[in-house]
Amino acid sequence: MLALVLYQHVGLWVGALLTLAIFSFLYKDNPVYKFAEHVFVGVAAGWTVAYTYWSAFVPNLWTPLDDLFHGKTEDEEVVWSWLLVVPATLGLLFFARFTQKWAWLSRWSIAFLVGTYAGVNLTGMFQTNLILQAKATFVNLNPNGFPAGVNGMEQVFLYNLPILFGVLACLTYFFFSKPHAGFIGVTARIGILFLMAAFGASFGYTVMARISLFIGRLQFLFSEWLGQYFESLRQLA
Amino acid sequence: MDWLTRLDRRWLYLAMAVVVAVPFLEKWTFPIIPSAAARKIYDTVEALPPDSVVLFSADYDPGSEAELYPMTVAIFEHLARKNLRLVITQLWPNADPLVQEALKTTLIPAGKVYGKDYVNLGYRPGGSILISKCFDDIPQAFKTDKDGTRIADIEAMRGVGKLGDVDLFIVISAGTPGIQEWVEQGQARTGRPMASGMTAVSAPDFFQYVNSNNLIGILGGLRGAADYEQLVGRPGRGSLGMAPQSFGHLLIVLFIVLGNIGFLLARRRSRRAS
Amino acid sequence: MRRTVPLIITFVAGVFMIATFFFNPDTWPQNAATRVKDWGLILATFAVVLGTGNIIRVSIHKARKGEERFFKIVLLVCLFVTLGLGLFLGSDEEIRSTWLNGGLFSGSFNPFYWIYQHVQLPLGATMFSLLVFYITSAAYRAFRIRSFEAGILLATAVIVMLGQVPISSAIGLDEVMAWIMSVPNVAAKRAIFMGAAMGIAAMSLKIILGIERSYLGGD
Repeated sequence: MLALVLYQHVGLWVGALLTLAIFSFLYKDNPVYKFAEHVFVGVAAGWTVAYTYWSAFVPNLWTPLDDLFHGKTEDEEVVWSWLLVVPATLGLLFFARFTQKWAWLSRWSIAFLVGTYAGVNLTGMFQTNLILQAKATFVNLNPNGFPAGVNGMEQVFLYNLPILFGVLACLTYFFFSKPHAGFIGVTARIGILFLMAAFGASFGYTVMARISLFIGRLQFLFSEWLGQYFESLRQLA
Repeated sequence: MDWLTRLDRRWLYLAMAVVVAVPFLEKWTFPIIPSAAARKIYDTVEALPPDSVVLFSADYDPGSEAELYPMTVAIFEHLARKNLRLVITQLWPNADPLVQEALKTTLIPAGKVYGKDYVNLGYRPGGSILISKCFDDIPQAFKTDKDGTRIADIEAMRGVGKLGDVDLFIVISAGTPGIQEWVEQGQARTGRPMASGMTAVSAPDFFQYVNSNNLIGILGGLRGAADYEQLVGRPGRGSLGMAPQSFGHLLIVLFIVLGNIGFLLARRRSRRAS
Repeated sequence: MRRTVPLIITFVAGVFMIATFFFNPDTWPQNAATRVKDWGLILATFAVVLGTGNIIRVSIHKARKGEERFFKIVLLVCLFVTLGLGLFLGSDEEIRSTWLNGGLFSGSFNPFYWIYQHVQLPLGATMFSLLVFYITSAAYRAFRIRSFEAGILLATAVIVMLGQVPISSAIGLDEVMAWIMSVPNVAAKRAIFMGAAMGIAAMSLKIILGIERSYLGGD
């Protein structure tokens, strides 16, 4: 029990002091901040590799190969398990980068990874961000063509039409093969206004995100760290 | 008025720290009216028939814990009250301890049984490749749960062979891989409904997916968490953060105004001088 | 061998992944693709280790040259201690399925987990929370109405910030914000994403067809 209490209290103090060390950077750069910064990079990298080992390397590679060598693999899996030697070899080839003579071998591993991601992402990205978004842009513009209970005029003139016009205007602005003059120039300028409104919205949301993160640290410092001691003192009193 | 343009940045920092800290320490609260987007997600979960399968992906890390952990807790709280099967996945390696903490305050006290009512498949690398694998075969993609139990032996996973067997996706994400990949490889290919929560920074990028009916709703940042807490009737860190959040926003608006006054005065002076 | 083999690997892997997109689950091309994707996941695991290997290499190099030697040693010690604890004790809150299975430490609290909760979590969260102060400074110093476009940007930013405040609903500002987010924001972001999708699709095709080769490095 004592060990557990110490474990948690020491943890809170360590967390709080490291938090304050990072905040000290706001006054100016200093060795205490640098120390905390390097602790962060080291711990995060170590944690990620160890966690990846247990959650990815073991179930995807180690266990199937281990089962194979101990004869525990189901019949239909045997071929696929043997084939795991291919990614294992390609994975090891990554480390050829650290030598000068064999560095080119790591290209085989990179090539497989890049090819796989390019193939998977090309279709997904194309379908979701181009086809589905185009489909959602060119929608009903007839105010009478909506189901009962939907205000057609509002839907068309406040939502569907401005979105259609806005997308076309922004795309016109991105289209550089023709000079932005005359009708194209005016449309592109309206596109800029849509983009500015979107960037303003992003700024507003970014402010919200940053303040939230600071509130999170206040919650830790005052509620979890100092809060529990004040609570204890109050109980004693 | 010259001081306006020459003000040391550290005074600005101090002002922000004080303006956010005071409402927090004084525990001021504001009435919160949940957004329509949050209500849509809530209603969708409410309407799920018993024994439906909800896939919850926690794709974040400590850097966004302040925004996304309260959201995770609020959603878990809602799921804990329903008779559903929850399958948890992670595309980021540093999310699991946060998921464990959230489970300890929601599903576990509600008496939900691991393996029967919920299962944590843990983290796997690969992002979009992993999801596209799950599209065809979830057991093959994950092989075991976080504790090393074979997926075939987990009761909560019965009948859940591929992404199309999932009744609702809920993805809480801080970036890549995350919502974008789940929409591309999961929702768009299966047509199953998907709800999402994200850091406020990335929220504006995802409104288009609501418009295109890929997402049923989005919870943006701490405000999104506060909205969902209100809907499930369990005010937590999100709701408590709304007063400091509001004062922070007001201070930034004030600074923008002051900064522009200083700018306009300086410009007028330089024009007069020239 | 140095160039042709990687180009063939990229081509075959890429074309196979594109082709299998058009098959339903439980068909043989989809099942075969699932296995091949497994290989991609295994390689991604090695890539994580490679990234950390680079951090170690750069840190050792800098420490040897005497650049911030103390801090680089701190980094390396933290990295190896965390990694060692994780590999030997497992990644669970309580020590259980590890190389020391059923051994001396089984059932006790895992220091690896402690490091996450009390070192990594506060450091990661605080590091990002610093940004609130920089954005405060930026709002004061850089957010200037120099043009009509800048005015639009500022106006929407202010409406969105105030619209997020819970009491904004009293004056209907939350509805204005909701409209900005779901109309001008959607239109602009959609155009940006469409452009990006075309760019990524073109780049992916160039990579698969071997026209874009920069990822293979020089020589």
